[in-house]
Amino acid sequence: MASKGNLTLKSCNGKEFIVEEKVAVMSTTIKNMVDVDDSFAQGVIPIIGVDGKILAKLIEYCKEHAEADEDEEVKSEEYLKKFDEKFVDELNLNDLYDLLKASNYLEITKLLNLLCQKVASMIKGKKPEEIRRIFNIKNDFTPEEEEEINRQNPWAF
Amino acid sequence: MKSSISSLPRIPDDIIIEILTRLPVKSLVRFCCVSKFWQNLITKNRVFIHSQLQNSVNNLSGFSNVLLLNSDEWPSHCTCHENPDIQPQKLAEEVMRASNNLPEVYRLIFRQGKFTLAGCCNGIICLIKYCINCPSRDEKFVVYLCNPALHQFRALPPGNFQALSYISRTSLCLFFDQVSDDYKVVRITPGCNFWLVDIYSISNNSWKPFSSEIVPPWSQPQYLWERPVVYNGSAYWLGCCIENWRSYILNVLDLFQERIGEIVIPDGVQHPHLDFFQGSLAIIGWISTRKKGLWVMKEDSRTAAAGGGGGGGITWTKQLVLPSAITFYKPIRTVGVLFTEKYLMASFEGTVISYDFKNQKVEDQNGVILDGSKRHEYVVADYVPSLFSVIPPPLAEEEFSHT
Repeated sequence: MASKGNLTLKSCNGKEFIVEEKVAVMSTTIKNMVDVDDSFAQGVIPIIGVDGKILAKLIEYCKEHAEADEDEEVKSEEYLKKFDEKFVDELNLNDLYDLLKASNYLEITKLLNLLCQKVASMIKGKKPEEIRRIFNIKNDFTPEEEEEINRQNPWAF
Repeated sequence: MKSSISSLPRIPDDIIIEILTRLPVKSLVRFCCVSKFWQNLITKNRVFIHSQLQNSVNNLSGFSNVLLLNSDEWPSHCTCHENPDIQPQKLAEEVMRASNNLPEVYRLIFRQGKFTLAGCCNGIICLIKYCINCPSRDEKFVVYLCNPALHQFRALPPGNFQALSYISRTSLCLFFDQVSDDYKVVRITPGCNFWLVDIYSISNNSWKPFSSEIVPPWSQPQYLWERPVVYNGSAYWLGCCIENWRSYILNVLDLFQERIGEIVIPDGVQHPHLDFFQGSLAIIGWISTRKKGLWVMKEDSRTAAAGGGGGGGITWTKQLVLPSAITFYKPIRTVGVLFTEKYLMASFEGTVISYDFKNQKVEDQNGVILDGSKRHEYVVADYVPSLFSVIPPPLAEEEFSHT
């Protein structure tokens, strides 16, 4: 049972985290739950489809940003920028993917933006076939259609 | 890490879209052949194309992504003395070569002044070719739209008013029409006692004339001082009075209600330049031999709502006086105001000087030297690469590529 001003979040593999409300409501999804139904604020909020390891990462991110939003003096924009850089650099690909899905589901806009930017910078120089492999996309063009598209824009390759 | 990205489990489409809106145009064009879903998204989905642009704008910084064109504001002075058939092809190549160097400083300088910039909006550039020596009427005056990032460059159809265009006086401006989510070019062709106005739209690929001629309300005869700009559905341009050359008038033409009016500009301003400042229309001009001021236009919403159009209820608020320090560089001419709130000026030697409104400092833009010719004027535009096509939809497949 969390004390007043704190919320308890429970991952899909049963790990519980007690966090300050201001940190948890960085997630619009959680904010809506708490706003609509008071019992969530008292009890345990289940975070479906997010395991303990990823939830811990999310909380780490939200904590830094919630504190910065509250007091700009303590955590400057520059500090946050460095934190963000380090945060995404330390992720392996699987974590990056899980965090993307989790921040999308929990609507943590700032983090989602950061992660999308990271993936964009990773893929911007890739070839189309590498993109298909990375994102598991099936090529639904016929070879003729594909050749036609490539013929139109040779400068992009 | 970079070269060895392994495969990911399937990512939901909404996240893919979020990621793709953060990619540069060149990568996206290359990724058109990934799948049909990606191709549709990148080439046809307007919501996607708008958010990709918005993300690029948010990342815009400093002096990069600036388009400088040298242009002769008085095209009657500019003849194609060297080569009567200007090759649009050559211009296209120059535009595209420059766009390949992004995000380095983006500069395009047309030394002959044969092309005039008629607006740059969301990655689309509108250019006009004036060629006195070109043999046929349709070749003397050609309007081009190009998207350098997509390597697109095309001439617009002439339209019915082309034959009437007294080319040195016709003025054009590219603008984005939010209502129809379309890029359009307005063309104002002055006649003896009336003006003809028509508007080209990319999606219709045709010029649509105003329902009737426009009778200028001129309190005094005037000549075109500067090319028009479009703001909130109206075209604005400065005219200089013929009988009193130290007096200027701002003309306003409502493009939807087809109404014209005049606006009095701040008292005593000399050599005014019309531009945008913090999202509003602004005038910059000399207020004394050593000082320049900047005024922002405010429209009284009550008169506007009552269909005032025609320039009623307009007030000018003086925002700043530029320090006399900049007059050290005299003689200088206005190039334009940038999105980043820098005011660019060019000296006669062609050096670019900028004044930063935020930190109130004058800077030399090191290394940026324009064509030294004293006769040429320069214009500047914020250029952000975008995915907006200048090819009308039915033609998209035939004419897409430029080789």
